[in-house]
Amino acid sequence: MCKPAAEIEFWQRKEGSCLHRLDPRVKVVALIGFVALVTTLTSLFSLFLGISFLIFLISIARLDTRKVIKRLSWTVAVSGPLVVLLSLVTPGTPWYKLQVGPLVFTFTLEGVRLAVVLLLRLLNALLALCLLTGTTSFSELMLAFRRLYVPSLVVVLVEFTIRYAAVFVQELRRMFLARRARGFRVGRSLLDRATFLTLSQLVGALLLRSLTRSERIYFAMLARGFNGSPVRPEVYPVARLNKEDLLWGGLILAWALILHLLEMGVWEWNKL
Amino acid sequence: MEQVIVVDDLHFKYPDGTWALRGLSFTVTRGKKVALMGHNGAGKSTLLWHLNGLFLPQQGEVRIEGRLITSSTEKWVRTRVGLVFQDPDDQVFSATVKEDVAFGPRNLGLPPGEVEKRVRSALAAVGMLGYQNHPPQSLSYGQKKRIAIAGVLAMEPEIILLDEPLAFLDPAAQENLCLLLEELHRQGKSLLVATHDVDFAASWAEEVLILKEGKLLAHGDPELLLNEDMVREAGLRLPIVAQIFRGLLPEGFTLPRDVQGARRILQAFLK
Repeated sequence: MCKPAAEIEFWQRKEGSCLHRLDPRVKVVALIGFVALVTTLTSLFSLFLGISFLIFLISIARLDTRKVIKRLSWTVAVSGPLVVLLSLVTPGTPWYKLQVGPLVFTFTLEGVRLAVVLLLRLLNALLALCLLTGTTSFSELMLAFRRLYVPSLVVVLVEFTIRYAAVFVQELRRMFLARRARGFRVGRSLLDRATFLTLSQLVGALLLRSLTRSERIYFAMLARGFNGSPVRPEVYPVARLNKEDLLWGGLILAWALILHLLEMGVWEWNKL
Repeated sequence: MEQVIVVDDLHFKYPDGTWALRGLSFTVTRGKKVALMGHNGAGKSTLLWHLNGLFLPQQGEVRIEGRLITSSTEKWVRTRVGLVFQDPDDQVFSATVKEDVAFGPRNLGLPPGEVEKRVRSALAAVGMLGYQNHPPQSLSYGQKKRIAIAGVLAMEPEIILLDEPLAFLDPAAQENLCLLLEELHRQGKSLLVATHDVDFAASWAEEVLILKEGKLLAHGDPELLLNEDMVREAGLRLPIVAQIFRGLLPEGFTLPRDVQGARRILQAFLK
């Protein structure tokens, strides 16, 4: 049933899966819909079920678990301050009191719960994003956006950002090396006047180079017949949706909808 | 022979007041391999941009296949004249190789099937057919250069302009590019290559155009590059093989401009 993915970029495993083979348009609509629905849930249990479902899909897609965890690792850095801050500023039942000299900090249960809810929503959104980018090549994703009538200008801006981020990083690296080759030492404080001056000149030079490069890119576009009007989405080749696409898309959206419906009335465990 | 490019009294001044072209006039006949030479700032790139219609003449005129380049014909000009930029990172801007090569044909309004056909054929011509779905940032400089050329070939222009195509390429990539240029010449394309590389121009070109400070210093066959006073005035140098034989040849022998010429002279001596 599952065929190997025709083209895989970035970080996902080379083996394909049903989810790799799924039409990118379906994946975009289903996963964005899933995130929109799940991130409005308030019950911890429903949010956990959302995460479990995404982990199930990720395991079907056979994505590299270590890389998924690595991508999510920064949420730990965000969640710590979030829990502390929200449990301090949200009024409610006191849970823990911390005395620092004359100051008394009171953490509330409601605040901790709110922070956990936000964290679980964030995890749902990030896992869905991992699933989307892990099973869809960048070119397929852009093609899907075009076919879904996302404004061409937005798609082109995303493409250019991805394409030229690498070029500017290389340029910055070369400029940095050129400065180091002439005795510039890194690692001094930014407050050091000479270091600050050199780094600000570096940023300024990069900005000017970016401007001249953008001009050359524009002329290169004109030279190949670009006249300012976006290419119609119909021009891009695309396969017709099949039953498997619709089934998977429906399943992903149905799961999110069921969680919502359960939370709206049937669910009784949201006091967890 | 049909004149595909006619430049007459072309003037161009940049907004900062720098005169890039000052009364330039020349013609190029169909199917020729022409090297455009001159020192930095001589006006080579500015001239190429005029021939593609990116710049319009401030004074004088440029005709492509008999049609005057104006704001109303510049779109047509780009279907007839392809321009390969010096830095492929300026030209290869799409997310994947395939998308980039398809950019020009899509702008021509071609149907998807024809676009696909042209993309495959252009990538095959530059030996990059297996790289369709690669992001350009993962390619080497030489590969990006080939993709830039494929992007122009996919528009099937009759005249191809290349700005410093050999710059920063390793010898193997230079050789591949020369083979590709030969193949395009065999297909009847008119090629105009802006270059500093005297050795390449002397061995490859059928005609040489030498610019100096926006003016035409000389136009003729590649033997021009053996005129020491002239090449020095143009800020160039003699081809390496000519430098080796300078002062060593008896009367009746002319300096060689390429390896084949040098070989012929040596064979004559050995006999």
